[in-house]
Amino acid sequence: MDRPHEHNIGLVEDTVRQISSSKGEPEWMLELRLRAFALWQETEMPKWGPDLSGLDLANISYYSEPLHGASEDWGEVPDEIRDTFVALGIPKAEREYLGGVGAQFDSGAVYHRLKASLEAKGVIFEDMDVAVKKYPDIVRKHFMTSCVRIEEHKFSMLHAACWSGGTFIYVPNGVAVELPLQAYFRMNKMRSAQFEHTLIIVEEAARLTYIEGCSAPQYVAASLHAGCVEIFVGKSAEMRYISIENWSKNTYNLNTKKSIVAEDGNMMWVSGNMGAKVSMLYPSSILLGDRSHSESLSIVVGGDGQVQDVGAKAILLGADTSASIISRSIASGGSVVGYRGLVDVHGSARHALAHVVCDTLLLDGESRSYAFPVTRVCGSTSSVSHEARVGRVNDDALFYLKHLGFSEREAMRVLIGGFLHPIIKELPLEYAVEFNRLIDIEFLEGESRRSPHKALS
Amino acid sequence: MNEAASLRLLGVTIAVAGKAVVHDIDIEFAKGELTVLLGANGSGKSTLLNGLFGHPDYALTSGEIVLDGEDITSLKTEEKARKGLFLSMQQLPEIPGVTLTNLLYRARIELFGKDTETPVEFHQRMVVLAEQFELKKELLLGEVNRGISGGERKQSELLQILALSPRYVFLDEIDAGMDIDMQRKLRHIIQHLLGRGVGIILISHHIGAVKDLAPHRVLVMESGHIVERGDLSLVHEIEKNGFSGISKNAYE
Repeated sequence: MDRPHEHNIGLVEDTVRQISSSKGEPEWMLELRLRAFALWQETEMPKWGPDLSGLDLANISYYSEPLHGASEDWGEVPDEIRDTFVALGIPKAEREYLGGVGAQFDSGAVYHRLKASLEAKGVIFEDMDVAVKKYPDIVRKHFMTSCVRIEEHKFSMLHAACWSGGTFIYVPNGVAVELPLQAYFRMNKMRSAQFEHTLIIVEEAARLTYIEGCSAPQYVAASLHAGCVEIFVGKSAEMRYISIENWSKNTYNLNTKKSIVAEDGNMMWVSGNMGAKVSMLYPSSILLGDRSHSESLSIVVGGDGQVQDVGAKAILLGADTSASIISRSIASGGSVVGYRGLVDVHGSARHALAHVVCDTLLLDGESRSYAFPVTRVCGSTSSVSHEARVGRVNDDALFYLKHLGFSEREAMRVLIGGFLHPIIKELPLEYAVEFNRLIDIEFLEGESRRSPHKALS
Repeated sequence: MNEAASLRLLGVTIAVAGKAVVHDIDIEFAKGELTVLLGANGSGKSTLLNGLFGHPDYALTSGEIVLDGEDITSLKTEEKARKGLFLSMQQLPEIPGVTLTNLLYRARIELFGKDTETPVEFHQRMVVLAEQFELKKELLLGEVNRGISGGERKQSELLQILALSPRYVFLDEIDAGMDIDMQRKLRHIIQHLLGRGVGIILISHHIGAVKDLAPHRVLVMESGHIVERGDLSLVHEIEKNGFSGISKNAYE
C-alpha cells in the first residue's frame, strides 16, 4: 500500500495551513484553526493533574494525509487497513446490529456508511471532514463555539488547530434512530497524534445511541490522542453516547467531551477506559433546560503503571435538573486511578438533584487511588450527595468462591465482573462481551498479558 | 463402614496464627449418614471445618483427609469442592453485582465442566427445586448474600447445595436463628440429601432439632478435641446434663 504523506514533525503555523489546504476547507475553518494555534502557542501546559512531562510535543507528527478518501464499500478500502478493521470486528458488527459505521485510520476516514432507511428520514452520518464542506452552516454554528470552546484548555486549542476526521451526526426532529451508529478510530502510526472531532446534534424529541471505539497498537515512542466530542441534545431528546477506549500503554489520552442538554432532554455517557499511559477525561453535561437530566457511567481500568485521571462533570443551570455520576475503577500493577469531577449547581437550578458515587477496587498493594470531587452549590433548594469507597479484594469472598469450585482466577473474574456490572449492563450485549474480554486480558491472563490489538501492529 | 466409600479425617490438627487450636482429630463420615458435631462455643468446631477447606487463616498442620481412599489433604479449596465437598459457612460474604443463579451456573461449569443446560434452563430448574423445597425462589435473581436477611442467607445456602449436588456437606450452624417453619424445611432437605446418599456433617446448638433428625453419629468437641462419641442417646444426655455434665476430658 502507498504510505500516506506525513507532515513535518512538530507543529508550526504552516503545518496548520497545510492541514486545512489539503482538505480543501473553507476559509472560516482555516481562521478557526489559526486562532486556536495562536492561543495554543501562548498557553502553558496544565499545572494540575497527572505528569505530562513524557509527552514530547515537539517530536510528534500532527497529521498524516490519507491517500484514500472514505469509501462506502469495505471492498474499496486498502487491504492493510481493511484487515485491521476486520480483526477489530467492525464490518461484522455493521452487518449484525448497527445502523451505520464510520472508520478512521490515523488522520482520515476510510469508510462511512449509513443505512438507507435512516438516510431517508433525514439522518446525517458523515465523516467530519466532509461535513465541513457539505453542511457548512450547521457545522460552523456548532463547531467549538458554545459546547466545547476552543479556549477551554491547552489541548482543546491544539485539537482545534489540528483536528482531522471524526464524525458528524444530525438527527432531525422526532426521529428515533433505533440501531446504534458507531465510529471506530484507529491510531496506527508511531509517535503520532490523532485529533478526531465528533459533533452530534439530536433535535427535539429525537433519539440516538452512538458508540465510539478507539485503539492503537503498542509502539516504543509516546503518542497523543486529543479528540473532542460535542453533543447537542434538543428538547425532550434522548442521547446515549458509549465509548470504549483501549489505547496502547504509551498513549497520552487527553480527550474533551461535552454535551449541552435542552429542556426535558436526557444525556447518558457510558465510558469504558482502558490502556493509555496517562488519561485525562471528564465527560461533561451542561444541563441548560429545565428538567433536563444526565447520567455518567464510567469504568476505569488501570494496570502496569498507568495513570488514569478520569471523572465527570455536571453543570446544572435549569430548574428541576438532575445529574447522576457513577464511576467504578479497578487498579492493579502499580497503577494510579483517580476520580476527578465537578458538580456545579447554579442558583437558577431550583430543586436540582445530583448524586455522585465513585468506587475503586484495588487488586494489589502497589496500586493507588484518589478522588478529587468538587461540588459547588448556589441556593438552598437542591439536593447533592457524594459517596466514595475504596476497597481491596476481600479474602473471605475469594475463599467463599473457591469453596464453590472457582479457581483463584475464576473467582477474581466473578468479583471484578460483579463490581463492574452496574456499568457493563448499560452496554449493548456485544460490547459488554468485548469489554469483559478486554478486562480478562488486562487482569487475568498473567503471562500472556499484552495489548489486545498488538497482533495488529 | 466401607472405608473405600467414606470421608476420613486422620489425626487432623489445625492451627490459627501459628498456634494449634484443634488437635489430632479422627472422624469417619459415611455416605448417606448424618453426623452431628456438638460442643460449646469456642470448642473448635468451625475452626475444624475452615481448616479442612483451606481457609487462608486456618492451617492444617498435620494429619490427613482421605476421600474414598484418596488422600486429598493437600488439595486446594476449589479442588476439594470439585471432589464433592461443600461447606455451608456461618459468615457469608456479599458478592455484589452477581446473581445467585449466575454464580451457581458458573460454579457448575467449574465443578462439572461445560454444562449442557443453558443459563435459562438452569434457572428454570432451580425455580422448580426452590418450589419443591419451599425456599424463596426470588433469591435466585438477587445479588449473592446482599440485602437479604439472615434467614434468607440460610435459604440461599440450601439452594446452593441443591444446585451443586455435593457428596459431603458440612453445615455449620445452618439452623441458628431459624424459625420453626424453616427448621421443618431444613429437616426435609437433610432427609432428601441423605436419601440420595449424601454424607452430612451438621454443627448445631439446637439439641431439639438434632434429636428430631436422628443422627447416625454424634461427636462432642471441647477445647479442640473430640471428647465424646456416641449416638442419639448422647444427645439425650447432653440435653439433660449440658456439655459440662458429659465432658470427660478424654484427651488429658
